[in-house]
Amino acid sequence: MTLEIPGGMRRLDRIFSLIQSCDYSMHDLSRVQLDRAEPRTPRFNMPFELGLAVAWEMIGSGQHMWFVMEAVNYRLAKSLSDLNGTDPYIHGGTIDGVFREMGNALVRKGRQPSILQMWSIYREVRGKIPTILKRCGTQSLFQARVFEEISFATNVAAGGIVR
Amino acid sequence: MRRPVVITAPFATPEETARSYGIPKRRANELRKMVEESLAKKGYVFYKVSGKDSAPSKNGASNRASRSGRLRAKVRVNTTVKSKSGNASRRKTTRAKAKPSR
Repeated sequence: MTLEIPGGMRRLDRIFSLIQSCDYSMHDLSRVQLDRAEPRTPRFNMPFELGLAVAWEMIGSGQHMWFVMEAVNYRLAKSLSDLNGTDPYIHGGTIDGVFREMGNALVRKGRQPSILQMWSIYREVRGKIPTILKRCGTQSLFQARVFEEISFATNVAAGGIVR
Repeated sequence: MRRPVVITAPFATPEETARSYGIPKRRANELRKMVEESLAKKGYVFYKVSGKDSAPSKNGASNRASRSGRLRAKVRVNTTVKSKSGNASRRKTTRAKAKPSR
């Protein structure tokens, strides 16, 4: 969502307004790792955004719910000990794990998608990505328009698959 | 572990999603058609949203109205399935009746 930054708006303002407008936020800290470009630096955006969400919950809305995801168990206790006592959702760096942990974090009465259904939606949307990229005239997934179309296609696919 | 959050709000419809992202109707319809056709080949049945059914939502009617539209579409799907089997059984009965008359 932060890909959609209207002209002239500061990135930080946009991120914070997005957090404020959402009831829930998911923060995957598994990708806080050194990048390849020199000088090699870790990406701090995710922990920073998590901090904003925690602050918004504590001194802002009081209603916001945030979830921390990690790939490796106990790594969060080492990398971000301030969050000790908060159990992260460990997805193990797999698609299956992400589906499982999303299902653990968010529960819906009645129409709760199963892991198999999530896989079907994933495969369906993934198969449409080349067409979507072509339609948007880009090779990158990290474009606002591509994100919108993928989200919309996912919604349509979920409507047909999850009953 | 944290308690899971129970979501009670209904799933957003494709129309609502398109509106929230500002996707133009034509683009949304193209995408929708693409996904629905692909899923239909795999055996998933979609509730048909024809121009007639989507009209109430355009006029700002409540979700209830659009839901009833979807239900109507569902009934239509069921009836076509039934009519197929009905034809088959009718054919059998006519044959069976024809024999004794000869």
